[in-house]
Amino acid sequence: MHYRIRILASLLTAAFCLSAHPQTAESPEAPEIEPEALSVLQAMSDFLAASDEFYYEIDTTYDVVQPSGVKYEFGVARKNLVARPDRLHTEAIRRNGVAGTMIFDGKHIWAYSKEANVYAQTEQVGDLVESIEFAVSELRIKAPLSEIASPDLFASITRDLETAYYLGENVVRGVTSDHLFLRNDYADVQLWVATGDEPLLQRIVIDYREERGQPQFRAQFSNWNMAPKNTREKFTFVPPKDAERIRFYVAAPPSDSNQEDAK
Amino acid sequence: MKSTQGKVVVSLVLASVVCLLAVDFAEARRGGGRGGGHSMTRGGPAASGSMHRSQARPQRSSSRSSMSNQRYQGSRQAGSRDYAAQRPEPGTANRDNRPEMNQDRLDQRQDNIDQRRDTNQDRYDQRQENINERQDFAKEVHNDREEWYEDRWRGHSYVSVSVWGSMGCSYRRVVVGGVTYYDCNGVRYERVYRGSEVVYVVVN
Repeated sequence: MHYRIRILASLLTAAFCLSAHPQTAESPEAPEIEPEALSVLQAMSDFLAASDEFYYEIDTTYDVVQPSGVKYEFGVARKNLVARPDRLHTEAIRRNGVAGTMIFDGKHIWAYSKEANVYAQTEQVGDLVESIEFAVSELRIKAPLSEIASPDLFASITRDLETAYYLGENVVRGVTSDHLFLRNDYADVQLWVATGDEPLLQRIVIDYREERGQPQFRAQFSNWNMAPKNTREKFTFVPPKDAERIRFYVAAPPSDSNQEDAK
Repeated sequence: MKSTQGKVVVSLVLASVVCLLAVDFAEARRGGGRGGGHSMTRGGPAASGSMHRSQARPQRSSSRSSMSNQRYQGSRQAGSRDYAAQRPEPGTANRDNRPEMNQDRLDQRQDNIDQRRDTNQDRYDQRQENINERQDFAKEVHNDREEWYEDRWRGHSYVSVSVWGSMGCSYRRVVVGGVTYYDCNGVRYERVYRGSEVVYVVVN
């Protein structure tokens, strides 16, 4: 008899658990922004804004949703040197071994492929933020996490912010970090920011929940250097003598596809 | 009997602890993502690594939220006007009309409940509307992007450097107006930067 009562009690509790689960697993409905999360973001932004020049490496991976719906993962390792207001040097190596260099020298945007021994050049207009925007939207160049070059990273990250949670402390590759969850009108973002005197980004995961297949972007940061030396030469590109100059392929609007300017 | 009840209570507590741990575990497992490999579309929104939708896309969120606010404020104002109309005039409240007042209060409370329910329903509808709108917008963006690429590359197919190398044609180099073209099996190509990648675009 006692045994039956115990079984009954356990079953009732299990039923309660199962009914409670879906509610717990639901995403938050009410917009909620925790001040603790914002203060971590603000500290990170202030710290980066205090340095006009800095260097970092990122190992990025991202899902590409195929027409069949399955996701394949691709990856690019990047080394970025930023010098505000208008200079950038980035070296990218894909997993298939293809490498490329992109330089913003303040007057021109250069792309160089050592492997193909070709380079392209176009005029740079505006500061780093504007130039990156131009490169991404017009030249269709990939510049993941380019927000980091912005002098006001906080404003950039918190644009259209709907939710910000402070999730606690984690250790990411040996670095104790504050773990945050952010949600804007387009994506869910998780960030890990180092605790202590140098609140630098250690890891980021972006879920594109509004996109088909909800692909994910992931980046692991390393080798931050807030006082890089001998940077001038990095922002000066002199094409090798035997390198061929080619053009950026820039598409015209769909209605005028015959006049594509590959400048 | 007491010991039986005690065992039941202990069982319930233990089961609850297990239940809470299970909830935590489920929470911890949420949000994991995976990637894999096969051949393939190579680009997509996640490749951008941007936290925001492209700036070039139309921004709808502001108009949507303003619509939402207007609707919400409208219903709140209507509710407060109704409430004011039913309140007794100052100085008219006395013992004689207390039953009426109680009835008024009951009515008012019911009105408030109804209004809250309406407001909740409004909010739910609005939320659902927002979700639908967001889904429509995402679909629209996806379609736009597909059209964009289709138009962009119609008649302008290209091959990657590795494919070019495997084509094995003895190309002829032609320089026209300072631009180098490559003729291969009767097709003219130009080597260009397409995004961050060097490719051979068909130009004729």
